[in-house]
Amino acid sequence: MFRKILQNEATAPHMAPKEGDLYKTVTVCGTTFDLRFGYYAEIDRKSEPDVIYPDLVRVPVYTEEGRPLATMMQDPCESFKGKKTEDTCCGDCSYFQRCEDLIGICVCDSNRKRE
Amino acid sequence: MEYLKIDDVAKKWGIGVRRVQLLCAGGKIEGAVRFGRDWMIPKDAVKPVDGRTKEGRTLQNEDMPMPRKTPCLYMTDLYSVPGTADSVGEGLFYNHEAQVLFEAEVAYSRGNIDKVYESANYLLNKHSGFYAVISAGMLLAMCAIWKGDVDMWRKAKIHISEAPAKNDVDRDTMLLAISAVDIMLYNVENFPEWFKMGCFEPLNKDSLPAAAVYYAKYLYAFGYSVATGVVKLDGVQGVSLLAMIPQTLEPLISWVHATGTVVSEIYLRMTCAAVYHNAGNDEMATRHIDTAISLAVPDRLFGLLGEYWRVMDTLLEQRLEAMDPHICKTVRNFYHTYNQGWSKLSGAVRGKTIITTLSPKQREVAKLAAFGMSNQMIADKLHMSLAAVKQAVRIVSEKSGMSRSNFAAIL
Repeated sequence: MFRKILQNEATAPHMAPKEGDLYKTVTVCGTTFDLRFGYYAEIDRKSEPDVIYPDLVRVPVYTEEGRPLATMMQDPCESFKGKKTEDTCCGDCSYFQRCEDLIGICVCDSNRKRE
Repeated sequence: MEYLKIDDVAKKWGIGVRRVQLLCAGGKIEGAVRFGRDWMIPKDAVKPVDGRTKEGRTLQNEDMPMPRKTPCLYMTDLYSVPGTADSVGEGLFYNHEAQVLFEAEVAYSRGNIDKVYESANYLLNKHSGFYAVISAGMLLAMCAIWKGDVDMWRKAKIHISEAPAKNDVDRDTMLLAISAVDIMLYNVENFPEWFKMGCFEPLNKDSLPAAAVYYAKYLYAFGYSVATGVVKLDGVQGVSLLAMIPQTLEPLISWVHATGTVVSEIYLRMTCAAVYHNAGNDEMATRHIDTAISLAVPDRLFGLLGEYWRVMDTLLEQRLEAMDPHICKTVRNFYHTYNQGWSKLSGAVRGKTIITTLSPKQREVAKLAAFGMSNQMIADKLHMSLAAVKQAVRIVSEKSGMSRSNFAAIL
């Protein structure tokens, strides 16, 4: 009995990725990102690497219409629309439109790039 | 400090000896200590208010804390003498929450699941205190097993995760409670790392007898998975590991026996017996089974034996049949009903298990988020960067389709 239960419960073998390995390539509104495994900080090195998403605050990327791209994990801006808590992120905002993976665009007019 | 015997206190207060025993067992007399099976009471102890009288009821403080700070009241020294479960329950008259809980726990062991369900819902709807909510959540999980109800199972875990924790001890107790619910389905993944190492320090001391039981179950589940090759440990022979586990369990059994926690002793002995049996030592297994039976029978706690029916193959059945065929039949019937629900629930949970798709890091983060920790608190506790934590929470949320407040349901 126990053998069968525990065998059913076992997960598939986990092939650990290495730093620098390509996770996938995503294209959002004409901009292509190679998402690779790595670490956000030295402190994270004790465990397996994460998929590193681009820092779209430090290096903004815009669509042709001037809408900024954003990751779901980014800190919310002043125009955040929704229930705000200590851990709220861009992905929780009503203005965030998810495109692919955890990357999307902000459709808030106040964040639109001015020419 | 000077102490008096129960007889002397009974004369002094003008009440019966039995009444004083109940008050001691109920934690109602401050400073009362146990010596073996007797109680010694401080000479200057104050006679408790009699909550059974009209005057007493008005004087009672309805917000009195639980007599023991632990989930599973019946796994404490409140219940230390086989055959007294009902009177211990009556003795908790001064704390309604504690009385409902204790009696529900005993009812579970007797297979009265309707009473358990009713009591769990009553406590959860009543805005009870932290330990009452945790315990009620665990009772609801037990009902879910009997009924094979996966929604009830998930709700039980959510209730536990929403218990009003005020400090780190409360949060660690909550973590252990969720793990204790999971171990009912042989899922050991959510036990915290400190607990897997056999450390109980983060817990309140009243929780230690219950913690010992969960630790025994964890060791058994882990040892069996190594023995059956499901988990590979380099350089470790599976059956040899299983044979070594009693070296940890036997001292725990001696300890709980000395503390007089009947239910914990039953569970520990049955778990140890299961380990011995699967390691090929039926002589030692039988010794523990016989003692566990002798502890369970006086209060008809057959459910505690029934949970182990199948892991013992036919050994438990043989011992019960030799003792009393009628009891054997009762325990067997308990097992069949329990197993029907268990199989249904286990299949349903495994079929919808998101947890197996998460990495170890994501599981850890999900667990702590489920218990109300902020991202920064999680980052501090797990020594991770805030960015990594935020990403992990987002990934778990996307995979499960749930907000962080409902993460407990996927654990």
